[in-house]
Amino acid sequence: MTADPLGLGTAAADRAVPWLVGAMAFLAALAVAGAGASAGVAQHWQADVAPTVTIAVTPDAAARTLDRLQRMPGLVTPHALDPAETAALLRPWLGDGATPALTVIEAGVTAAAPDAATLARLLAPDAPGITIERNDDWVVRLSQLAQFMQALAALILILVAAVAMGVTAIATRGALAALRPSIEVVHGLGATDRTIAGLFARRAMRRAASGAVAGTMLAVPLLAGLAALAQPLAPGGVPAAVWVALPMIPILSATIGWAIAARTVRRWLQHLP
Amino acid sequence: MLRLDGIWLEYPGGRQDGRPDRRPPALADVTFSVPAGGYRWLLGPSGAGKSSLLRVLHLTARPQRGRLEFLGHDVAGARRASLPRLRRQIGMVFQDFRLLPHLSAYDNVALPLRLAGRNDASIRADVVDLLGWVGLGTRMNAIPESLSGGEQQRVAIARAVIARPRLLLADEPTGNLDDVQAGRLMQLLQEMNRQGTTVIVATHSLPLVDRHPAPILALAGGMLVQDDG
Repeated sequence: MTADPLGLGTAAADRAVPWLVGAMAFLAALAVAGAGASAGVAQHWQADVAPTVTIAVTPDAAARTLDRLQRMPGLVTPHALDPAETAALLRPWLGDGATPALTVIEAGVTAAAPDAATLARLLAPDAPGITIERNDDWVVRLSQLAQFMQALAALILILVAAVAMGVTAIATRGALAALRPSIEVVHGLGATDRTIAGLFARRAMRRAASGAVAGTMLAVPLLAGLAALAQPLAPGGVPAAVWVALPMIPILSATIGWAIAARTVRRWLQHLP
Repeated sequence: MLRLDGIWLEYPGGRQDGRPDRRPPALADVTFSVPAGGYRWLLGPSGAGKSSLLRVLHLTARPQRGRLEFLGHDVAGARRASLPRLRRQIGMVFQDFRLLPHLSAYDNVALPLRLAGRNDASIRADVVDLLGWVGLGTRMNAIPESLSGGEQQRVAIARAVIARPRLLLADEPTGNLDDVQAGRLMQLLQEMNRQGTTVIVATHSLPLVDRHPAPILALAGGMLVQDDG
């Protein structure tokens, strides 16, 4: 078969497809990287920060509280900080020479430990006015932020895919209208719908793939730069999963181009006898 | 091989005021048959329905009513997907050539063979021979735009016969040819017919019909008014 019997290369309708798909691929690459990076940061902090609980009680309640904590499941080596350690802990807020009015108790936390609110309820009868802070609370919030970023990225990817589908469908319809006489000739010579749709689909696939490769490649140096800027927060740089996911963008774009063009042409051909 | 029974064809398109179009049908109750290897002239004034009938026979227009049998298949009731295989058994020469404008003469002629699944190596000799036979051996790489009307018509004829169709249809095939080329075309059509191809040629040229006598199908106002078959 001649590579282009219909003269698809002469149709102006799909000239913009590589550019538009390229822009969509660029956005998709940023979305994928954003989701991957935020997940990576959350994972990094969860792995590096040993979860602890910090409890501040009045000095007269410290011994009773410590005793109860030692008998609770999920709490590891609870111990009261000595005054020097407490003063060091408070120095950023109270400055040098501050005399702590409260005793600070610190304990390691495992998965079996009660959450901060439950712990406060359990300890409150023995230690009125107790304050409790789990340092993994913000890691949990960071994890939630990462999940939000991943959901956002998924939404962006869906939108990008929808735009790519729309662009391909419109370009294909334009080409069908422009090439109708040639299509009718080839149809009359005995070409099947599959043959004609395949010609359009292969071209749409190539053009979407070329645009997506360019868009994704353009995003790579930007991602590398952003990863360098984010080095203090995420020393691991861009997660490996992101580099694995990026080549999927051109593959997905090419698949979308192929499938949408084929479907559009097959539906259009139903108007021919 | 070809049997039409009560073929009725109307073109879609109502009036802008929404009332039904009162145009007469392009074909009205056309009934005739042509045996395998038959030759027919298709005559009639402009607008008589000759091109419409050729479109129906080429399976590129589906009649609203009637029965069309081709090579033993009921085409009118056939599934759409089964038609391309039948169309490849039909060669069609259009009045306006309908060459693919960006393909060379060679590629235009080779296209039916490629659509039938033959590879390039196996078709080259056939295409070169036929283009030589129609006098275009030196213009094989020319695109239609650079060919004269007569040359384009000869490419169109070569494309129609290259796959040795069972049915060959021609719509005013000599309209753009000089006498010499018209004679060669008639020679080609008769040779195809001798080899068993059924041939139906629509023409206005009564001298041409007189020089090559054959049974006549005549249309007027979409109705068949003469059938010598």
